[in-house]
Amino acid sequence: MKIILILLLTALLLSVVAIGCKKTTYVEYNIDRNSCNGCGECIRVCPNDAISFDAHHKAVIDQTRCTKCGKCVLACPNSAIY
Amino acid sequence: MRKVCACMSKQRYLLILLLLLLSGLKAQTHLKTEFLGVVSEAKPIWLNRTQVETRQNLGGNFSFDLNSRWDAADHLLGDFPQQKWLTALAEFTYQQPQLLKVCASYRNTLFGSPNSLGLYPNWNSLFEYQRQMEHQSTLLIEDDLPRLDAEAYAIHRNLRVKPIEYIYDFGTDQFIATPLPEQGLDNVYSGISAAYEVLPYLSLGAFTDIKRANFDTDDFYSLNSAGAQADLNYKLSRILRISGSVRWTNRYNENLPPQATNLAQSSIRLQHNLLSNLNGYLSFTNNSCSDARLDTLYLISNLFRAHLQYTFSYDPAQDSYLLAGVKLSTQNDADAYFAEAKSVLLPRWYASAGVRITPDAYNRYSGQLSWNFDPFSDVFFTYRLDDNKNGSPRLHYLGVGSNIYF
Repeated sequence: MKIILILLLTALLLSVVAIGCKKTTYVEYNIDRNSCNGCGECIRVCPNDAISFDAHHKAVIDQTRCTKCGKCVLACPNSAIY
Repeated sequence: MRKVCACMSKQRYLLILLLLLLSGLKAQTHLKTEFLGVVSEAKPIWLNRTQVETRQNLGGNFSFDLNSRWDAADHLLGDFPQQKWLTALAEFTYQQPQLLKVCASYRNTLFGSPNSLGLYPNWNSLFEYQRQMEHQSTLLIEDDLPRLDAEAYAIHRNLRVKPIEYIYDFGTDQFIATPLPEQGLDNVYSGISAAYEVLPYLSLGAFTDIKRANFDTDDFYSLNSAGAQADLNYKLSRILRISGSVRWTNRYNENLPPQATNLAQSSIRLQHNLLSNLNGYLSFTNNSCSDARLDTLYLISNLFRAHLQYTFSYDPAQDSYLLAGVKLSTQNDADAYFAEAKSVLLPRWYASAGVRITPDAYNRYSGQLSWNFDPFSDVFFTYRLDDNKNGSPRLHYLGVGSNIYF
């Protein structure tokens, strides 16, 4: 039962990845929460006030304000933004 | 203006240090400070970075955390975003084991930069803003029950700005910068989420988040989102663990393109302890989106990340290691390759070196020599070279610093 569930979930993950291969012009930066240490460097460099701390003191990007300049990607010391 | 801002920063920083001292001697405190000279083709810059982290048990189920970080440079250089920067977080936590946890926090951030930004709305070039400071209040309530993982939060963020309006002057045929009175830009965030562990290794949940911005009367920056999530966390063997999640978010905002209405985020992570002192992980994350009708799924970005760390057994303190990693996200030009090594040279003496390569942006090389004057505290000499590839000058950081735990 366990193995079946694991395989099902893995298959679901991979299928989402496979189907999602159609390219879009829409750009969106996101933060890998496992790698974010909450240092705030991205908040400091963001020219649009698009990044703030969430309730767990990790950085989160406001997609409605982000202008995709990419400054936060270079500023992050943990390479957590992609 | 710059002098006023710097003065305010110093006063607040001293106040925080005073509060820290008053909070009692039983607090566990980490103080890190660095004094750096930054050399480039231009005039050298002097930079001080100080960080304070303290945790105090207040008795009963209460605790208090204070985190503060202060960066101050004597002048702006290149892309340094702020000449002065202070962010301080104070958080009270109440925890009732096996029941709930409540965190109430306040964060204050001071921006010390003379630069004006075209913040809101970003399509209106007739206004610019100088960020002064930001207040952020947060309330977080989490349950601590065996199979239910639920939380609710509310955040209020108030950004104090000095607006500048560019008014066209027909006489001179130019735009005149006209300062306006200081104002506050508010953002309110709230949300709830709940996940139930249907099996010991599988949980299913749902969430909703609401954001409102009061400076924007037509809801240009407001965002409603809701979604569902499945998380897997399973130990395949004594040395191998697999975790993964699928998260589907429906979001509404008139600023987002229709094809980004639905966001699908899926991730899978393999954590492996190959030997007692060799461990690493592989992770893969995919972000895709679709419109409201779910006709087509579009790829936004993929993230592949791998880490491998070997800890040398000859160091009794377990602080000598070799680490290598890679992060690949080609869709957003966010690839990075990094490696780091640290080793004990003599008793209490450590040396470390690191390299970080980000294609088309910069290569960073760093080295540090440190001396531990007690098991946890040290003083160090540090050097860093940022070899920029985008036309920005090379920056050499050279300095001394210390980490003190008491």
